[in-house]
Amino acid sequence: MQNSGVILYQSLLPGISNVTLRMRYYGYYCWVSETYARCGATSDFEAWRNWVRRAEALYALVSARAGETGVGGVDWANRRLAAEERIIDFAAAASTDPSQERYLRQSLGVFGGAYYTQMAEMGLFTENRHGIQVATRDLGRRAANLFADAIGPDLAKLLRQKIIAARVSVRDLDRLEAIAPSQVQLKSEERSFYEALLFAREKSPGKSAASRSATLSLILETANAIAERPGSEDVRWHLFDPPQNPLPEHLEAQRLSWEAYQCQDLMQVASAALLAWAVAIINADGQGQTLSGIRDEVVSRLSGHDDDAFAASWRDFRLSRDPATISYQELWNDLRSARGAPADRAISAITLMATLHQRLWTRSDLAEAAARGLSGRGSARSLRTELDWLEAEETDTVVERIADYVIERVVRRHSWVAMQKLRWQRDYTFLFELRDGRLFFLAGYQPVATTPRLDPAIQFLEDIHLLDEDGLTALGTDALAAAR
Amino acid sequence: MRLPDRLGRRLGRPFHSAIATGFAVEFAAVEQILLPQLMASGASNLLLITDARMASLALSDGSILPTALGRDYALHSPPAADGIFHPKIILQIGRDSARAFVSSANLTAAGLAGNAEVSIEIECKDEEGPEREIIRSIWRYLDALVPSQPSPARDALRWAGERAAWLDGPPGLVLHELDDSSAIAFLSGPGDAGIADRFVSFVGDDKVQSLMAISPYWDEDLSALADLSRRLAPKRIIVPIDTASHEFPIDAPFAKKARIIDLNWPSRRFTHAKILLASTARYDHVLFGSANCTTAALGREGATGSNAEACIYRRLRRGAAGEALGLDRWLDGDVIALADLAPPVMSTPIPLKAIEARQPGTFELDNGLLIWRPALAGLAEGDLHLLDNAANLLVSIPVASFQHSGGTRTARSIRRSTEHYASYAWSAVTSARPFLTSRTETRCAHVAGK
Repeated sequence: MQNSGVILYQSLLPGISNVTLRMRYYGYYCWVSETYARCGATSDFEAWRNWVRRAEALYALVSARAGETGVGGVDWANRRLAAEERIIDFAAAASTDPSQERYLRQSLGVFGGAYYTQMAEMGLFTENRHGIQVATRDLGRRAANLFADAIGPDLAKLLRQKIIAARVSVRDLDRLEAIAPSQVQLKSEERSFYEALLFAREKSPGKSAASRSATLSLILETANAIAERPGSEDVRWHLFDPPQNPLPEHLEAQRLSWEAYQCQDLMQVASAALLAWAVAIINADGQGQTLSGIRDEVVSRLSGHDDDAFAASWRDFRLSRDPATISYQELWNDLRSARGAPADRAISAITLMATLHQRLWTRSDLAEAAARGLSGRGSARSLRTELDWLEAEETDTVVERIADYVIERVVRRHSWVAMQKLRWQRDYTFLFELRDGRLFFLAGYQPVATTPRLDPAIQFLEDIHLLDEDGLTALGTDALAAAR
Repeated sequence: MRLPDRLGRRLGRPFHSAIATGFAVEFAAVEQILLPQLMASGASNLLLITDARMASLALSDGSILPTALGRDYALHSPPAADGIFHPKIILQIGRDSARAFVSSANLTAAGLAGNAEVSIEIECKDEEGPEREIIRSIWRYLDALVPSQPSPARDALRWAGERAAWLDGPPGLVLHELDDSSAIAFLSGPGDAGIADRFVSFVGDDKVQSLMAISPYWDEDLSALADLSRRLAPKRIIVPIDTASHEFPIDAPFAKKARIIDLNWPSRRFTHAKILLASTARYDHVLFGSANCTTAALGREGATGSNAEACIYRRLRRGAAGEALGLDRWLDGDVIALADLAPPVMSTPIPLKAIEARQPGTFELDNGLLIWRPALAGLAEGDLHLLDNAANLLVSIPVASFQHSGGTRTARSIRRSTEHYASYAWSAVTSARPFLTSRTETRCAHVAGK
């Protein structure tokens, strides 16, 4: 279920990921690539990797000294700074030698592990015929030049020298503070370039860039509406309901996609809550449980519930839900909470599922957005597949429908997914396992939401001065107006 | 090291056949974990042999149903007997080589990759030697499990045998000496002699200094352990126990004679391994495989056990077994007083009788003719449901519409049962999985594709 949501939000915020945390890395890496090319680059990948790792380790030291966050290797850098060395030699830490205390374990650092893919998506990077990642001739080179211009030739020279030497004094770290992620200047071409890049104002932006631009504009809309710096939850919920003042067509289409995503994640969390309940049933007495035993327990619990609505058909139950008045946020918080019994949270999950079903049933625009963004066939599971399944036999009682759902769509699905992970990744992720015909508990489960890249996107907007801690800035207001 | 990782390797020329046996089966694990590895080793002729009741349970308890059974592999279950069908063997056969795994692992995800299990891997070429004799013993054992009359399982064995004629050979000695002065034997039960009798005879007259028994399951009165102890007369009886959860009957009188040690297996996973280790001044005598330390598995003096089991006996130099299997930590571990041991948590018994009563028998679909051999006579009501790979109903056939001929029933009109059937006839022939559904909605099945 989570995968469908992940695929959808990736399409809504291309070029930014949950591990690309600061905007300025995009310019810095372009500069790192261009400078490497000018320093007599070869086709030796090892030399390129060494260069990247030294550049990252130095960036971490500068950022740690400046108190920055969201920088790879900053924990290592803080330890080195705490040692109060006069000269910090980071050659060994930047190597790939596992016997050394490395700034990061990943072979190609955060560049390879996080940023490269997203920068390639944005047209800043590509791979040359030797398999080495290089800044592109147009956008990549411009980003490099603007970064160089922003820090000035003296600092650019110092930066290059320190990367080559892999040794730096604390005094030089302070001199290099201008390269830190939060040092993008308000009135700089570098900042304007990042904004144009994010909002797809460059020449011939692709379709994915337009999607990113629309989402970033909606984040600014949210900041404007709530009059403060938004968090990812603020954005989720602000975009969940159609606005009182209609949005331009392209932004409304994007908002609908975010609403579909949020419905998907709500359904995912509800389904996960039922999995947590099934796991709790399996773990009830240490004797394991059969599938029919789990089903019986579900039927017994739901049949004994105070609300007679569970005795009604699924259809009547969903029709009795009012999608406009229910507190989705309350259910959302309840389902992800560790407090309370899983069996109690399952009641919230069922209520939420029926309400989501009714919401899509009564909102053809939302149903169409879900159909566009979510898989409805094959082995993938999504809001669509689950609602289709519930609807297929919706004259069954809620008790019967949910009992079947728990067995067929939750317990068996978990086994199937875990089996795939065992087959392809050799990971043993079963929450329960079969022993002589009974399922035995292995680990508990807590429903979790997916993380739709909103936090780094908000940070990017702050890095380029469209948002600050008070919300929308003057530049942000201008950007929002342009988007409208 | 996980068992599946060992199965996919090739020894020069690929294997062409593989036979896997087990007590419990999880078809999703078989099809997602086991079969891909067996196929990677080159095998395309695949046979599964499992306990009849556990196979029925796996097909009827709501677990993920098989999608390749009858098409990619055949299933056979020896008729249910007093005991259970419990051997855990995987035999991979090639034209001039073979490899066998004799283990404690069931054909489930937990058995193949989750539990702490014990397994021995034996490889051989078509060259004279003890390994080839052991492989031949295993082949003879497996071959004897399947009746000689035509069936998908017999076809699989015949096909394998025709391409590995070297597996044939007269039965020889049970115990084989190896070049390093160690010895090996394949022990199965029920047979001419009980597994415990064989083990005791191999230990011989040497004075046993310690007897270690690792087993997830025990007799209520520890009779098998008591029987072995009486005959081997060890100075110490060491029983490593998972103190967090165990089934060791602490109230049995014989329990007082055992030195209970905390198993504390590094993986902290369910320990399903079964190991007996009798150490003398010269040798470690080890028995491991499918047999729990129970009378049903091992038998008792002069009597065979009731279960079908398969084990490997190894005689090794003193200390070698403990080193190889990591058993040393328990030899001198701190003893836990019985009074300090948590009470046993006994497993819920598997309702074998109830499952047996629900077995529908075997099915073959041959050119539109559905052949049904019911496990129990007298079933007159109910419907037979043919399902597709996604467990969707293809067609429902009333039990009463079958024609009887001896113990076989056939549905000749299956092609004409509905007009719609013609459009999915091919998929039914290639991949349908018949299920018997009684009018009380109980589903169970036993499948044989052709």
